[in-house]
Amino acid sequence: MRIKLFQEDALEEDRTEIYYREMTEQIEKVCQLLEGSVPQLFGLEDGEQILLSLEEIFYIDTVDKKTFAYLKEHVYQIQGSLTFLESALSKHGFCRISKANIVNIQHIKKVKSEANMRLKVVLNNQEELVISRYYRKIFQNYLKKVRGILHD
Amino acid sequence: MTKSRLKEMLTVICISYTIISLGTTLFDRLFYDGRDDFSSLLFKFICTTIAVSILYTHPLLERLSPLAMIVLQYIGAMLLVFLTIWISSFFEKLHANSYIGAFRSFTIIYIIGAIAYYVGLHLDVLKQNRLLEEIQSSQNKLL
Repeated sequence: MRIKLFQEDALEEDRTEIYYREMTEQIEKVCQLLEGSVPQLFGLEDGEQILLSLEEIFYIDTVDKKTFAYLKEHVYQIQGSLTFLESALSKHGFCRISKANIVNIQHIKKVKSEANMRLKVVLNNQEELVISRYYRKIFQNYLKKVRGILHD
Repeated sequence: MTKSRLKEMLTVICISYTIISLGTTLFDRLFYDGRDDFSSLLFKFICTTIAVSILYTHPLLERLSPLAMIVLQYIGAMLLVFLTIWISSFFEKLHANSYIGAFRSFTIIYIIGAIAYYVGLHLDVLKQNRLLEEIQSSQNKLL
């Protein structure tokens, strides 16, 4: 896709026009980004901010009031509390599963129960996260909701 | 404990006590021709209050695994029931099997509860895995 940027001081407001032959996933994402409907998460690395792709995030964890996004191989510190991120990312496949974790359901391999009756999600990178008792039904209802949206 | 949670707990105690006392009274009338006296009703109420209060401690035990929580709650409830029986022994003569009877009644209920929890957990796992499978296959079709 060709991108042209024009700077005009005389403009009353910023404007974007997109010309396309066919609506693709890439163009849809650009539209969502411009509309501000996709939250942007910036990860901190060596003092620099890096825009993180939500799809690449496996889960979000909080330790000592600091929030971290876990990707396949990298971990970035991100801004925002877990409560804020929970509501901001719920439309994008992220669900709270415990006091400290929000998981991206795209990266869940399976859910399993252990001998001590604890529920865990196994991620595609073989990491395991505990689903706390409080969030057990919330997680299940979230999955039902997402399935309902996808079927509609 | 918040006010709303306390209110909810008191409601659960009242409902549970009504069901238990009605159920046991009906059972006694049908099979033993027995009649509940005041101390028996009071003991049932105390036991119901202990059981519901103990079960309501589960958010405080969130760090523990469900199995550890069930065992801990069972021990706590059992000790409180035994304490109640011991205190009541100062006011009235106890039946020779009162401790064993209370132990049996409480243990059976807890085992049934634990099995129900375990079965529910496995059903949830199956359901969640099925939902995940459906979601992921739908997403793959969209892509």
